Amino acid sequence: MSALVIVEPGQDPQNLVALAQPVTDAVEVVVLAVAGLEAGEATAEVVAGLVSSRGADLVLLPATPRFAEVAALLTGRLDAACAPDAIALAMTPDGLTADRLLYGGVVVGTVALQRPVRVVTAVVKPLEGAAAAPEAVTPPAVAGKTLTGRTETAAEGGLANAERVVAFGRALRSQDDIALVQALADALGAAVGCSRPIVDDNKWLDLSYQVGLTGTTVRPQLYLALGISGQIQHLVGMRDSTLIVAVNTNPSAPIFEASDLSVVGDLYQIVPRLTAALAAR
Amino acid sequence: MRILVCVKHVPDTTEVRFDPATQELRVRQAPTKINNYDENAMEAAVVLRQALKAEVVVGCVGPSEAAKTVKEAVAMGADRGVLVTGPWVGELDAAGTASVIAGLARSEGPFDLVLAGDVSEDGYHSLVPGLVATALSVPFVRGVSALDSDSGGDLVSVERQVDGAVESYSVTLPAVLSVSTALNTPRTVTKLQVMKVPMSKVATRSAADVGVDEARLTPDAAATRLVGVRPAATPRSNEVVTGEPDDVVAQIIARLEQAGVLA
Ligand SMILES: Cc1cc2nc3c(=O)[nH]c(=O)nc-3n(C[C@H](O)[C@H](O)[C@H](O)COP(=O)(O)OP(=O)(O)OC[C@H]3O[C@@H](n4cnc5c(N)ncnc54)[C@H](O)[C@@H]3O)c2cc1C
Repeated sequence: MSALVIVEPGQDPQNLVALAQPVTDAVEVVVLAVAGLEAGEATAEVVAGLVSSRGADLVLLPATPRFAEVAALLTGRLDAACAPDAIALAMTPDGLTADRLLYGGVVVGTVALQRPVRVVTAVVKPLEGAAAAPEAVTPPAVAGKTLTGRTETAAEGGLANAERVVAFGRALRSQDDIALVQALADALGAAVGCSRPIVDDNKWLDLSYQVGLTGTTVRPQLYLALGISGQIQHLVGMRDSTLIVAVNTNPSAPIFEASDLSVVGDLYQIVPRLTAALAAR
Repeated sequence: MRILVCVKHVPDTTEVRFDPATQELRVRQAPTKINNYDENAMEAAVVLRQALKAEVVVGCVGPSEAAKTVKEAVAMGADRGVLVTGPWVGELDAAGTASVIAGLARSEGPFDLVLAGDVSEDGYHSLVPGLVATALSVPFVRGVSALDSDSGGDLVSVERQVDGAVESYSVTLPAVLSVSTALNTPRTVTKLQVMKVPMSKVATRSAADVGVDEARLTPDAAATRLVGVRPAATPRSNEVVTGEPDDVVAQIIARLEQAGVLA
C-alpha cells in the first residue's frame, strides 16, 4: 500500500502521516497551495493526477471544510471508498478499515474500505515552523463554477489550540453574566467556550466560541465546564482534554461521566469564589 | 426552474445508546426525525420557489417509515415528494445513496438545482451531495452560507466559509449545492400542517424505477461497510466534590495544582 498525504502550506501533515503508518511505510507528503485550487473540483483533479502518477491507493486529506468538498469530489471521481474524520486505520481480515465516530459520537464505528483507492480525512494541527515548498501545479479549469471573490477572515478566537478552556452552558441566566465566566477565564489564562444553545438559541456568542460536534473540537490541558449538561454532541468536542472539571447542580448530569472532577454545586456560588481564590494566589 | 431537495430520515442521535452489557448499538429504538441540516436546504428551496416560481420536489432514500419525513419537508412548502425505498435501504452506504439520488434526479428531472444539507446527523460523512454532483457531471459547492439566484435562473451566486476565508462563486446551472446552517433559519411547520399533506403528494419508487440495479446496493458491493462498533467514551476518574462553596473551591484548586495546570 502506498499513501499520499495532502496539506495546505499552514497545516502540519504529522497527524495524517501517523494515521497512515500502521498500514504502510510508504507515505509521501505533498503540499498544495490554495491559490488557483479554491474550487474543490480543481483540487480533486490535481490530487487524482497525483494518485495515478504516484500509484497511491490511500489518500489522506485534512478534515477541514475546504477538504470536505474535495474528499467527496475525489471519492466520486475515483470511485473510491471514503472515511471522513477517521481516528485510526488498520489492516484487518476485512481489509483496510477506518475507525470513525458515528451517531454524534456515541460510538466508534469500524468501517471496511472496499475499493482499490481509499480517501480518508482527519484533523490536522497548524504547522509550527517552516512549511515544505508547495508542489508546482497548473490550476485546471473548472466547468460551470467561477471564483468571484475571496476574503480572508480574522483568525478565530484561538479556541481550537487553547491550553485552557472555560466553557459555559445554558445554566447562565443572562448575557451580562458572561463577565463572571470571562473573569475566571482571565484568572486561569484560559479561552472562553460555550455550548450550542448559547450560540443558536440565545445568540450571545458566535459559532467560533461553540465547542462540540458542530463547533470546535478542543484538546486543552484543562477543560472547565460550567452548567453544561454534557450531551454527546458537546462531549465529542472536548473529551480528549487532559483534565476535565465540571460544575453542575444536577448530580446525575451526563457531563460528570466524562469528568475527572465532578463538582456538584451552583456555578453562581462557585465561579466568583474560584476567581477570587486564583487572583489571591 | 425545477429544484430537487434531498432530505434524510435519521434517528435522533441524542437518543441513540450503546449498551455495554450486550455490546449492542440501540439505533432502532431511537425516535426518528428529519435531518436538521436538510431543513436549511428546504428553506432555501421554498424561498427560490416563491421568487422564481420554481417547482420544488423533495427526494428521500430511506425506509418506508421515512414517508413521514418526506411529508414534513413537503409541508414546509414543496410541490411534491418522492421516497425511494426497498429492502436494500438498511445498510446503504454514502456511495449507494448517491447513486440512487442521481437515478432519482434523472428519472424525475431534469433538475436545475439539487439542494441538500451539508451533513447528516447520523453518519456525518458529508459525502452524498458531492457524489451526486460527480454522477450528474455538474458543479458542486459545499457549505453554502449565502445564495442568490439571478432572475433568469441560469446562474446562482453563492458564498461559503472555509477555514480562514469566505469565498464567493458564480455557478452555472444545473448544479448541486449543499448548505450550511448559517444560510437561513428554517420555517417551522406544525403537526397539523404535516398531517394535511395528502399522501397523493408523496410517491414511492423502487431502485429499478429510478434505473438502479438492486444488486449494486448490497453491503458487499458497497464502497464502505460497517464491521464493528464500540463505545467511544474515555474512562475518567469521576471524583465527586460537594459541600460548602469555599471548601469546594479549595478542592478544585488543589486538583488543578496536582495536575500542574496552575502556573
Ligand atoms: C446535530 C446536532 C449537533 C449539535 N452540536 C452541538 C455542539 O456542537 N455543541 C453543543 O454544545 N451542543 C450541540 N448540540 C446540542 C446538544 O444536544 C445539547 O442540546 C446542548 O449541548 C445542551 O447545552 P447545555 O448543556 O448548555 O444546556 P442544557 O442541556 O440545558 O444544560 C444546562 C445544564 O446546566 C445545569 N445547571 C443549571 N443551573 C445551574 C447552576 N446554577 N449551576 C450549575 N449548573 C447548572 C443543569 O443541571 C444542566 O445540566 C447538537 C445537537 C444536535 C442534534
